Amino acid sequence: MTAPIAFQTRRQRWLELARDVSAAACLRGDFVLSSSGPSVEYIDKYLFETRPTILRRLAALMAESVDSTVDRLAGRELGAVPLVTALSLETGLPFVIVRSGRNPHVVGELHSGERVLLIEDVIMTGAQAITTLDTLTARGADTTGVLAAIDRGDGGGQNLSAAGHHVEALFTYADLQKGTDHDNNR
Amino acid sequence: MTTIAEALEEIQKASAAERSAVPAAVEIVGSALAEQLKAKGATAIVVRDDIDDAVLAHVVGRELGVDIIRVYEEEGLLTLAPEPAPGTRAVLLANHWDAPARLQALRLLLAHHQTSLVAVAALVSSDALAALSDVDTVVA
Repeated sequence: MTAPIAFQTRRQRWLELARDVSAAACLRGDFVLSSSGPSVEYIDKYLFETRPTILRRLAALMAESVDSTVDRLAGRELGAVPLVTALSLETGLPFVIVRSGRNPHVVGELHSGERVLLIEDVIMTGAQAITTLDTLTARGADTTGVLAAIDRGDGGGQNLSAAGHHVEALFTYADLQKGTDHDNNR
Repeated sequence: MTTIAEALEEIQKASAAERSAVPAAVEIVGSALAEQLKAKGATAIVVRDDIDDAVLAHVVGRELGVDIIRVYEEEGLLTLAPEPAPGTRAVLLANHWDAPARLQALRLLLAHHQTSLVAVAALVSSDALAALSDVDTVVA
């Protein structure tokens, strides 16, 4: 008699989550993106970040990529706050929120020399992530890179790498479109 | 402060010190920009949702007697408010254009709304502005 399958593999969980994120947040319509102009596709991060069943699983999978040397997480207001909060709960690591705009600053406790990992929801051009990392560095943080839920593939990953930052994303936009993965067989 | 050059210097000093632009200086430079833009036949000034750009747009728009349309950037999406009417002839205006990609995105946004771009204007020249070869540019 074959034993029932009680647990999903990581890959099964990843594929199922890709499908759920795609179904919840990948919209088709008439959009103009600040990164690349008119588009018929847009990822509305709030449509996946406001669903606990998705947010919980995102945090669980992303937590596997949080290096054990990280002291603190960081998330940029407003979009990354639900995600960084979920990851904080999952990992037990404290976090700060980075406020953007004309007067960027860090809110929450942050000590000079702490190793800080920036959590991003969707990477587009990477410009905002670079600005956020600069804000953290100016406050004395030793930034370890960027961990994102989705890399939209608008050059953001390359721009961040070119600026000297380590970048990792749980999904690419292509992953969400296809629901498949080429190298995510951990 | 009576000349355009003096007014520009005041604005640039304020910007470097992260202070709000000097209203009297913006009046002088904005009026001069409007004078140059009169011949373009613009029916709207399109400006980013930025406080300094908004002050400049107010002066230029008032002098030209045209509407102001704001560009909002939120969560990676660009939107115009109010929506341009059909046949709108727009001037893209900013204190300073610093990122060619950002300027290109705004041009695509206007084209998406079937709005004609009659000029791109700024207080001072920049590489992003100088790189434009297919549209008129105006600097104070």
